[in-house]
Amino acid sequence: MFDSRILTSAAMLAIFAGMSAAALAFPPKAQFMPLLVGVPGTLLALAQFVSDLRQRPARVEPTPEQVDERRREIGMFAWLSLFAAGILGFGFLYAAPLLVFAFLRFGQKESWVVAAIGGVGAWAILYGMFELMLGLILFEGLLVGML
Amino acid sequence: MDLMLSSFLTVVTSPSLMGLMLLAVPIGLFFGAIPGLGGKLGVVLLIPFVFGMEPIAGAVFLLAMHAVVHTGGSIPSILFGVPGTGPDAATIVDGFPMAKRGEAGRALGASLGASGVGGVIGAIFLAAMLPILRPVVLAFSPAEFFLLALFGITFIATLSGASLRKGLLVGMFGLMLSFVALDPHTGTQRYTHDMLFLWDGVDVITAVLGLFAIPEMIGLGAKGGSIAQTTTVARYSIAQVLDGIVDVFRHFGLTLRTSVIGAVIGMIPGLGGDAASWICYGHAVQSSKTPERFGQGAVEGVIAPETANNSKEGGSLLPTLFFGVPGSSGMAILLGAFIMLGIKPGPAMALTGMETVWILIWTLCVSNLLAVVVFLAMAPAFGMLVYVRGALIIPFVVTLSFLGAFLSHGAWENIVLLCVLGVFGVFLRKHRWPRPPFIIGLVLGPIAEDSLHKAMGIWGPTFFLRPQSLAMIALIVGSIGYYFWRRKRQAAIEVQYDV
Repeated sequence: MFDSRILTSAAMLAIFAGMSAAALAFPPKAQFMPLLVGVPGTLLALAQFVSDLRQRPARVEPTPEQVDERRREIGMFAWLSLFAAGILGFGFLYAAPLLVFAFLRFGQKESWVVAAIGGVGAWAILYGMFELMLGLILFEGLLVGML
Repeated sequence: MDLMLSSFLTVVTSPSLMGLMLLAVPIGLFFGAIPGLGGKLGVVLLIPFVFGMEPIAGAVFLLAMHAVVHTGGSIPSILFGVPGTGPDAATIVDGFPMAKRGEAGRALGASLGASGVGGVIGAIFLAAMLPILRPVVLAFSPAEFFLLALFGITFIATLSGASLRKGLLVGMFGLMLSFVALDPHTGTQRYTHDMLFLWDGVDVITAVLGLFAIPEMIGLGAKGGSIAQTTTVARYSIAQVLDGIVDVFRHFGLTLRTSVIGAVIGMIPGLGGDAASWICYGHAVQSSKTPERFGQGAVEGVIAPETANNSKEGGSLLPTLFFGVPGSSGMAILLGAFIMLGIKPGPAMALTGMETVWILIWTLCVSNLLAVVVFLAMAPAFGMLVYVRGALIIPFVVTLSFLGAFLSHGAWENIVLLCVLGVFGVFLRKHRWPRPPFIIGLVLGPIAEDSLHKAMGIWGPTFFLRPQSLAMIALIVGSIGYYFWRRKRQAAIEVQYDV
């Protein structure tokens, strides 16, 4: 089946083709540049996609190191999703320190002390530096905002 | 002359500007010294800290940090044989062998002295070019600006990886994203889908954080372990470091030549630090009476790339400030930050922004000199870098990335955009799609579109037949031709080795 290399060039092709098609609905002056870039971009992306399809490497069993790396990569994606959901839901001041702590303690197996210092440090930077010193208003979170 | 002196006094007599530079320099050294971070990430992560600052103060802070990144980048190159940033790879060739034979301090000193002198000469070069550049900038018409934007994208695409097609596609992807906004000529919504946060366009800071910071952090987390991936570190003394600084003056002719070469290379959009450091390293080998010492730990092999790394910053500020065409991907991010701060690079800078230009020139000089002092003060601690683990850096970089994306427009939707682009960036990184052309495309998109419409309005579709335009087209064709020639030569060398 498709590997991520082919999916990347397929995504690029879809972006160019989709944006070029959407540009056709714009008035002539507004569609000029998107089509000027989008049409050759679609053709180039198609060439890249075909080239990637034709040069599919032979399937080899991954080494234990590669399996480990892939597992860690999936863990990083999961943590990034959690971080985004946390920040969007509960804002920087509540979610970021907790997630930094959780990442260090449970994701990276750091000691409780290091993880706690990380979490408190994140809160100190966000609240102390950005809110108090720089006077910036940080995102409070969609769920917190609704309460 | 008055402006030059008054700007100098503004910089050195302002406690706030000097304080900001003193703060920015160690941060820049740190970002350079940690492999995988680098100047681009440094600028984007510091952007949240400059919100609310005066434009000049913010620009001075970011430029001072960016100017000394390569000074810090030489530390892991010499001590661990791991380049802090891409352009510091050339320093390993002789710096690491020097460290292995017990001359780590001398190599560090040479790199420090060379970086300091190179940075100052780069700034002087920029200042010397101002009288020549001003009439050139003012003579440029919209047609040339459009072609210059195309040249910038093409050139960086040809130089940023093995595949020209991938480089061009990423550059064009940046251009396409730059069209997401209200069309400036008709007011039509383009790709905004009624989302208010996209009416002003895709935020450059968010896009850069997504395509650079997030993939690097995912990569760092997936790799695991310490960043330097070594457990041994060379020992050195301050006396050795000072001896290395003196070496720069023992080889002052080389220092001077490579500084000027670096500044000239920096001026050409897209060539960047890798080209500057390797070309200058090559020059040091060719001009040496004993070229056989290179690769074994010749101090000139440290001096040449390090002067070029820092002097190129002065050169690359030229197209960035006066044409709005960034000289490198780092400068593209800095350009985005300047615009966000309210400083508008472009031809108008030659008429109304000369005081800002002079302040930035002095910032380059002062920050490079400050870096020498800070470097010497921190020298005993550099060995600690070996223990810096990715796990401790990742959550903070990600937090600052999210914060930067949110603060740049005060829109939470940018956090979602950051994640989408971040995931796409991970796959681009994994499958070796060069990412620098994306920033150039995104930054140059509005300039290219506006200039094209103006050129079409003034001269019609034949605007590219003007002599200046033909010269620019020749440059674009030449850069593509150069790419194919280089590929052919590389292939020939590979065949030779196979035989």
